Amino acid sequence: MHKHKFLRNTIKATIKQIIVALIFTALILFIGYLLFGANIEDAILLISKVSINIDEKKTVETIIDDNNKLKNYPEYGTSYGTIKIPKIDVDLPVYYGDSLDILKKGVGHSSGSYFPGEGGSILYMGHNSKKVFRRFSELQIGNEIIVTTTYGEFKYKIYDMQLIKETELDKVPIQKEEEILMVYTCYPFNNIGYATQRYVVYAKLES
Amino acid sequence: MKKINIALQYIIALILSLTIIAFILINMFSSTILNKNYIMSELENENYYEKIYEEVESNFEKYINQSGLDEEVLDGIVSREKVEQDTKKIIDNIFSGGNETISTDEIKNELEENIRVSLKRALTKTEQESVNTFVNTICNEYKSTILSTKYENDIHSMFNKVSEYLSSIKKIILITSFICVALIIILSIKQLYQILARIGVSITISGLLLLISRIYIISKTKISDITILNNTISIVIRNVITNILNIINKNSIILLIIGIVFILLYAIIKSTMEAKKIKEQYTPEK
Repeated sequence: MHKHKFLRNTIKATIKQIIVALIFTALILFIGYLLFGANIEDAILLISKVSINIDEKKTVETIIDDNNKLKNYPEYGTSYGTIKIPKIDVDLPVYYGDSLDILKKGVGHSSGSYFPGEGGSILYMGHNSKKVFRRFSELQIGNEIIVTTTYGEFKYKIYDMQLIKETELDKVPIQKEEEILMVYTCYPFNNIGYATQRYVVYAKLES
Repeated sequence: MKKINIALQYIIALILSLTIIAFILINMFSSTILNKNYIMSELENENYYEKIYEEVESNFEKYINQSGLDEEVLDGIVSREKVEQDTKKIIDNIFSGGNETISTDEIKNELEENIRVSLKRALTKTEQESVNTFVNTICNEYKSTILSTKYENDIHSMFNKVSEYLSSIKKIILITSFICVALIIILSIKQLYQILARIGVSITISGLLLLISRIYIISKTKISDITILNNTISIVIRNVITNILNIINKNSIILLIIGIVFILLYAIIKSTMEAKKIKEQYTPEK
């Protein structure tokens, strides 16, 4: 009987002190929030600003419907296919976007242009380095360019080549009437330093 | 009077709990982000120098494509050893206030020589200017990748100030803690076992506050997403933050256990004394 009472008293005293501790903790948290709440929110905001959520990157595959409409466009900076130009042994990944980082990895797709299969102008670009488009001068009318995407393969045939100035944007027009692939690189091909000219290859969709 | 005494004891216990938290946090920061050896070991653990070397090379390649030069001109212009030495110099400048500068002469000379060998022809004035720009760009890219900044001395003086402040605050905290404990002893002089309860409550509050802070930080931020300056430094920063949170977690659990043990001891002594008192009351006098 005495043992039970002793145990009950011990538990009672322990719980009482723990409750006191919990109340004081809540009190400190409340006062702390009133005094520093805004600063804490700012700090959290600052951390979120320097955070990049990798999980949010789109993993849904791009598809094309019967009306040539693309669904789930690729994420900027991601690779969605490859470009092959058998004549000059080019086989490179195509990335959506045209930043320096993207061009370092392969061929860039200007974000203002259409995607293969959409029936409009597609604008690709790449460096004039050995690994990319250094051998563009060897291309001739009739040569094939194959673009393989996650949603299908598209074959284009070269019908024109032009040397343009970097400012002549009207020479690489974006239109929706006909599917035309325009691929350009810097010119001269073995230029050192910044090049102001672009060598553009124009190709029409074959199949 | 007794109630005022108890209230006073709890207020002091509250102050004591805050000093415990401050003491733990100061010790934690002094032994982590303000500790050169800790930072160096974190960098070593993360293979930082190797990663920075790879990043340097990768960043160089960004410029080679648009320069029109062959990739081979970048071969051997910077070594792993140089990257490690230069990174250590920067860390030393920050922590010890050194004034060592990062020299890119070696890179410049190697690169110019490689370009000369690769081109095998005389350059026009415009081409030479382009080559010079390219060489300077590569040298600047190297410096910025290994985080060489003109603010190293400012960061060092800031580190010194923070360390001095923390050292003074630590002394104040220790003195405050002793005063708090002394006051609790004085106020509980009639029932000394109550000291256990007050100190136990203080320690439990500290443990709870640290634990809640950690849970709050983890719920509000995703440490694995933090990206600062470059990928390599981001990984190191993420590791340091994770380590700090682990230290907080470990300390909070230890504090909670100690706090509850103190409270339990208090409860046992209190119950024993009460039982003894009752026993004495009901024992018939001989």
